[in-house]
Amino acid sequence: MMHRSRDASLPPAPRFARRIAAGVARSVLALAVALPLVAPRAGAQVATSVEAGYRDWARRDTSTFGPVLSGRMVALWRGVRGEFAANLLATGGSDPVRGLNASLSVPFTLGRRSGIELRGGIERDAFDPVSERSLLGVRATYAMDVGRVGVSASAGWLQPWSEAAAPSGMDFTVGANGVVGQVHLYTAVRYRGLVQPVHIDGDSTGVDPKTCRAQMLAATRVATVCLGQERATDVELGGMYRAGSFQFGLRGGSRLANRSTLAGPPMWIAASASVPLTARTNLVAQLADLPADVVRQVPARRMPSLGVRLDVLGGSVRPSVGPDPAPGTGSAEASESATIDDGPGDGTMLLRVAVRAARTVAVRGDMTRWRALTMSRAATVAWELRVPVRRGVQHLVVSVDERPWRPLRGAPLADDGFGGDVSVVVAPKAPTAR
Amino acid sequence: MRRDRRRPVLVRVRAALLLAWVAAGALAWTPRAARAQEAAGDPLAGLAAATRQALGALLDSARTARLPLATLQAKIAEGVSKGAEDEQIVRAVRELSGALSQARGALGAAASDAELVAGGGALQAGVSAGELRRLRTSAGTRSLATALVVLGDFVRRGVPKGPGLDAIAELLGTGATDEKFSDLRARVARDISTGVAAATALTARLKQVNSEPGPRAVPAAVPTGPPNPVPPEVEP
Repeated sequence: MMHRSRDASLPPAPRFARRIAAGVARSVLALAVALPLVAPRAGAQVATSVEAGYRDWARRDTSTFGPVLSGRMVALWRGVRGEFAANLLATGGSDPVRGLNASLSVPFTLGRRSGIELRGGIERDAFDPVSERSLLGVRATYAMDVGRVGVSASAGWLQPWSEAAAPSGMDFTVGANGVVGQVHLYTAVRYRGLVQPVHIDGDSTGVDPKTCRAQMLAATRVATVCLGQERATDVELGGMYRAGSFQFGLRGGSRLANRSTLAGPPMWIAASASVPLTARTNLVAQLADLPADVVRQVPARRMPSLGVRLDVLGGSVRPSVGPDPAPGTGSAEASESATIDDGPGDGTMLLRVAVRAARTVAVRGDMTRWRALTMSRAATVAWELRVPVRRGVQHLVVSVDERPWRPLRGAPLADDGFGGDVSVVVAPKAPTAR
Repeated sequence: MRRDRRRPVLVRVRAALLLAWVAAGALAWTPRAARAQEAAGDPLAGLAAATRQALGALLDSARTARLPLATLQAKIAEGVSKGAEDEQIVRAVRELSGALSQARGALGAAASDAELVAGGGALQAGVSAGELRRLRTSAGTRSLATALVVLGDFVRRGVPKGPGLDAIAELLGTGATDEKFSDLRARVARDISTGVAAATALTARLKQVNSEPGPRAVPAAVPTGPPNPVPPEVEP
C-alpha cells in the first residue's frame, strides 16, 4: 500500500559528490556512535533519543508513508552545541529512505544581554523524498534582550552539495520572543530566495535584467548573478507550552509575498505534542501543513506522524518545532530558582534549576559532595540533574556559561562560612523526628 | 551485481551500528552524579594532618551530640572545593557545629536534621536562640525547616529581623503550608531585587499572601521573567 515517487526532472548528482557526501555521512554516524561513550568523560552533556512511529509525507501528486525509525543526539560542551539526527523511513519493496542531519553551533557572548551564534551543518532529509539532496548550511544569528523581550536577526546560506549546478539558497530573518507563564511565544518575518549564477565572464547576453538583481565584480571578470528569481517572504507566529515532560507546540504562518514556481497555500499551521508515558518514554505526535520551501525547492506538503520516543540518555531532546536557545545573558536573576523532587525510584532525586539565557549550567553542592557536575537542559530556562537521594536542607552554587560560581539569586540565600553566599533548597519528605 | 551482494552486509553493519549507539546510550545512562558520589572519597583527604585531626575531633563531638554529620562533612567538602585555607575550613565547621548544637537546644531534642540545619543557618544569619524557641512554640509539631530557611533568607536580604520573625510566626499561626512560605519569600526577594525597601516588600507581600485563598504553588521551575533572545527557527 505504500507508494513512492520521485521527481524525474532532477539532474543526477555528480558521482564524486555523492561519494564525498556518503563518506561524510559515515563519519558523522561513527562519531554519533562513539560520542555518547566519550563525551561524558570530557565533561560534555549528551542527550539521545530514539523514536519509532508512522509518518506520512504528502504533496499534491505523491505520497511517501510508512514506519519510521529516528535517532537523535544533542551534545553540549563548553557552550558548543552539536546535533545529530538519523532517520530511516521504510517503504516496502523499494529502498528505505535515509536521512541525516548534523550541525554544530558556537556561541559568542557580547556583554550581558546579547550574543552571536554561528551555526553550520549538513542535511539530507529522509522525509523529503522529492529532492533527496545533500545540503551544506551556515547561519549567523545576533540576539539580544530588549526589556522583557528577546529579539534576533539572522542570515543563512544553503549550498547543495550533490548538485554542482544547483542554485544556492539564502534567507534573512528577524524575530522576537517572550515568555508568558509556561508558554514561550515567538514571531518572525523571513525572506528566502535563490541565488543563481547565470553567466560568467561579463557576457550578459540573454540575461533578463528584471530578474537579475546583482552583478558581482571579481578581479578579472564579471559574474552576473540573478538574485531573487525565486523568493518568498513569510511571517510566522508560534508557541511552545511545557509543563514537566508534557510539551505542546503550535505555529502558523502566512506568505506575505511570493515569486516562486512553487505553489502552495498562503497560510499554514503545524502542531506537535509530546505526552509522557513513563519516565523516559513519550508519545509524540505531529500534524504539520508546511508551506513550499523556496531555498530547498520543496513544495508544500502535509506531514502527520505518530510515534513513541525513548529518551535513552540524559534529558529529553527538544522537539524540532519551536524556539531554540541562543547566546546572550539575562537580567532576571530574581527569577532563578532551585527545586529537588523525588526521582523515578532508582535511588536518585531530580535537582531542577531555573536559569535564564544560559548555554551551560554546572552545579556543585551538598548533594554532589561539592563536585562540579554539568546539568542537562530540560526546558528553555530549566536545567536538571539526577543526584543521589539526600533529604533535608541542601546548599548549592551554580556556574552559568562557565562563569564564576555563585548562588541562584532568586533562591533562598545563606552564609557559606567562607565569605560568600550559597543557595538553599529543601528536599521533600525530610524526616520529622529522630 | 557486486553492489547487490554487498547490500545485505551493509544493512547489517548499519543496523549493528545503530544498536551499538542505543546500547552505548543505555550504558552511559547511569547518573553521573551517582558515579561521582561513589568516586568521592574521604572529605578530609588532602588536608594537612593537623587540620584533619581538628576536623576529626569536631566530627566526633558532633557524632556524640547526634548532630547531622552529613552537613558538617559537606561543609568540609565545600571548603575544599572553594579552595579555602585549612584554618577557614576548621573555623567554618566549628561555627556550624556550634550553630547546630544551639539550634538543637532551641528547637528541642525531637527536631529533625532539616530543622537543625535550617535553624543553624538562621542563627548564623543573626536570629537568636530565643526567637527560634518562639517559632517552635508557634509551630507545634510541624516541621520548621522551610520557615527557618525563609527567615534566614529574609535576614540575609536585609529584611529587619523583628518584622521578619513576626511574619513567619503569623504564617505559622495560620497553618500556612511550606509552599506559602516559599511563595512569600520569592515575592519579597523579587521586590527587593527591583529596588523596593525590604520592610515595605515584606509588609505588602505578607498582606497579599494572607489575602489569597488556599496554598499557592511552589514557584515554577520555569520562571516568568524576561526571556532570552531566541532565533525563531532552527535552520542551518
